[in-house]
Amino acid sequence: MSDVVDVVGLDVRFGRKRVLDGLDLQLAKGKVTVMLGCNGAGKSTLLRVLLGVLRPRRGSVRVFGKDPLLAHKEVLQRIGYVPDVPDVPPFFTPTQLYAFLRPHYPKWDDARCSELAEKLRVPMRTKFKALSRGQGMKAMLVAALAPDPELLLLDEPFAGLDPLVREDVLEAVVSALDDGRRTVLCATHELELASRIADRVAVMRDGRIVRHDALADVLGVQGEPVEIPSGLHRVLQELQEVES
Amino acid sequence: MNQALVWFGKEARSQAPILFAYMFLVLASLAIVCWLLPTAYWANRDGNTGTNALAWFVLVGCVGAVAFLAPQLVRGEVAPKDDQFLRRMPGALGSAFAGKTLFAVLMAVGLPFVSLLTGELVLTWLGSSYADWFRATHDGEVVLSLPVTAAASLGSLALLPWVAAMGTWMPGGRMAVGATALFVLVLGVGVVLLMSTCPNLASTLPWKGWLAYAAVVGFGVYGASLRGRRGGGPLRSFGFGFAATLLALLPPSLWLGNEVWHYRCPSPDRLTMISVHGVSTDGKHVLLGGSEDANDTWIKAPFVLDVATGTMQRVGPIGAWIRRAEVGPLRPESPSGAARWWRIGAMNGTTQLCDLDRGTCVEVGTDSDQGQLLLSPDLDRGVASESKELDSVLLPDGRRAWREGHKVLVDGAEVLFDGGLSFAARWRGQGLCDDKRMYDVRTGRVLTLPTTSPFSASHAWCVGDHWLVGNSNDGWCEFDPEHGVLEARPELKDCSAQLLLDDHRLLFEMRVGARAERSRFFAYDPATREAFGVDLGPSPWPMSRTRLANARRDGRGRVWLRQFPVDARKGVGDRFLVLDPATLRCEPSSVQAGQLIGFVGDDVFVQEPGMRIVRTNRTTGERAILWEPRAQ
Repeated sequence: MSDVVDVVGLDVRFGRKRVLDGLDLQLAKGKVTVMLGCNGAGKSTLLRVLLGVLRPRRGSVRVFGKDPLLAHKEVLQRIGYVPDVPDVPPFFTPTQLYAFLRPHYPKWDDARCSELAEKLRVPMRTKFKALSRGQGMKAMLVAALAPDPELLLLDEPFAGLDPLVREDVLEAVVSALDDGRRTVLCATHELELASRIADRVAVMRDGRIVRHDALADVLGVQGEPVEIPSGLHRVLQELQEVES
Repeated sequence: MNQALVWFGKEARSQAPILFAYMFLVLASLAIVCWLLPTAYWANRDGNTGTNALAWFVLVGCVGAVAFLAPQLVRGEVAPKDDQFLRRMPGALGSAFAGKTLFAVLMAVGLPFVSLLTGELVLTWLGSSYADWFRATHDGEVVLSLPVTAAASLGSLALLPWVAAMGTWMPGGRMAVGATALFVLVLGVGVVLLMSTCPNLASTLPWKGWLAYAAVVGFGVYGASLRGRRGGGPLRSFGFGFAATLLALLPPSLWLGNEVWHYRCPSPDRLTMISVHGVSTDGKHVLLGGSEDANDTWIKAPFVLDVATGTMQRVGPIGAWIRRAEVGPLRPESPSGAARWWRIGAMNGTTQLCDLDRGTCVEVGTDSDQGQLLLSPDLDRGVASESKELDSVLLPDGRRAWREGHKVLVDGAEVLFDGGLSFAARWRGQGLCDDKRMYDVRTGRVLTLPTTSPFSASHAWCVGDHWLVGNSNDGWCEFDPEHGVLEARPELKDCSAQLLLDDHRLLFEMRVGARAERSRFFAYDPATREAFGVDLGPSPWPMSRTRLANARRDGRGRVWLRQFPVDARKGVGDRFLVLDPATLRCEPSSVQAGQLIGFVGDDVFVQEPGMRIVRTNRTTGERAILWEPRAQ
């Protein structure tokens, strides 16, 4: 079975700064991959490349077997994306946003949208510029899930959320996994929450994926009970020590 | 279509508040200004209408569209830090472009229209008319007659898509108006510099069509720039947009280059406007200026027409002046007609001597001080010989006088004047005159008019011993050089001197009629103060003025007059009369209307009737068209 995402030798630069440097990544269908890495490691940049927003300097990017830049419409209609900060027009209310998005996604499901919005208690008639961070993130999560995407890209979805909202978002994400039919790539710093959804962990450093394995393999404690978040902390600390 | 409409709706939702606020504030301010200020401050010069004020209302509508709406098409997508939302929407660039373009076009029409309506309401409320906003044509059709402000404002709407396009080139969509202004400035300076090399060309070009083109291709450039957002930012948009701009500029550049080329290098095959300067003495070549402009506003280039073959050759650049070649610093008395030697001077300072009998030109040097021709001895002799032949004057005692360089010669003997001869002096009858002095070539005396005289010396005519001074406005006097006094000649009131006849009488024209619209000619003998009327003969239709033809004397010494009709629109044209100086009787000539260029021999003459060159033999009636414009 072909991978949902297949990235080989990806190289992205902003001016002289090399953000992604020969990055390789393959995501199998139905797996939840959590991307870990320090600030500036290139996690958001990778997501933007997968969305066809950024053009790589070098390397091959295939999403559903196609180049997201060339088959932009076809690929993007199958992707749900939650940015770290809502990137929608601030004068939109969630209702207006969903009405706006509907024609762009052939699989847009109004019922699902309403159900999710109700479940997450999204204030439908408040403009985005007046929403709190948590409300905005929930509204964006609804927008990402309503078209029933096959690939869900999450960019720091839990950052800055209070514990209650974080649980709501996490619950929505977990329910969106849809019994292994949906592939998820989630960039986050929230190790504890990541550990609750991750099948695999990809660790980024200096624009590369330095480890990409099953969660247990990354922790290196196969077959033994382990405190997963602390294990991930250890992995990150090891990485930082290598860097220093 | 559905996607384009949702982008249209998004754009409307995005821009409505700012456009509404702008329109409300500016239109309200304008209305208050018109209300508070006395009418004299804002009404038209005649104080009757508020057309100018209405134009200002239109202006603010156009400014709203170009300076507020257009940049916002791009800036509105920047939330919170870039336009990622637009770029990540599946297949949204095309529909976003369509929706935004639809919104821009509707607002480009709507905002000035709303402004116009508001202005009309305000002016009506203030009791001011704007009726001359409209104008009735000859056909009775009512058309818009826009003031310059309104026309320029509406023209500036063509910049709207360019502002949007350049907004995509700038980080965050900032400075789009400034970038567009700079672009237009650079382009405008280039066009102005190009046009400065082609005087009057700009006024003959159909700019309005290209204005519409600029608007249409502007949207194309905007679309291309937006297309650059697929996986890229402002730099990539600039790459796409700039390439599209170059493509868009290609047709007008080629067109303008073609127009400039045809202006500066007119092709003999495409000449539509000519002015003939002269004909060779053998009638085989014609020297003319020509351009490809049918409206006669372009500067002409010199051409030599070979009558035998009908071929025409350009012999100088545009703007070159043509006159008969001269000896020394003196200008020839007759700058046109039939002659062999011609001088062609280009604006860059180069000069050619044209041997029109052979149809060839050679570049010659000129004196840097006075611009006189520096010729080889052979050429100098030829030019001097022709000057003597064509410009010599018959004195009362039968001797011939002519100028040669700095000298005046009478039968080859130099005449010396006290204080020398002014270069500006020209033959006036049998003497020479400049602004201040008169020169008697028979005695070498230099004469000056009394300081109290209302006349200039250049108004004098010498006929034998008599110096007549005057003009049709101030009357005429005879100057007595011995006593330095002027004696009135009331019989010459309202007359203007035309030509000295060979029998030492001066041909005068007198303006007659209630509005001095007709001419009467007579020959005046200053010795006897007798006037001999010229019989112009009957005319087939009412004629107005009669003037000397360009080529005045034919080979038999007859004087050619050209008579103009009262109303040329009634299918009648001007005609030529041939005056016999001995009998003072005129015969109507069968020559058709048009400029008379020169005589070749006794009876053959070359004429320019309309945009053709025609050679006619008056005796045999044979008529040949030497040149006419080729059908385009």
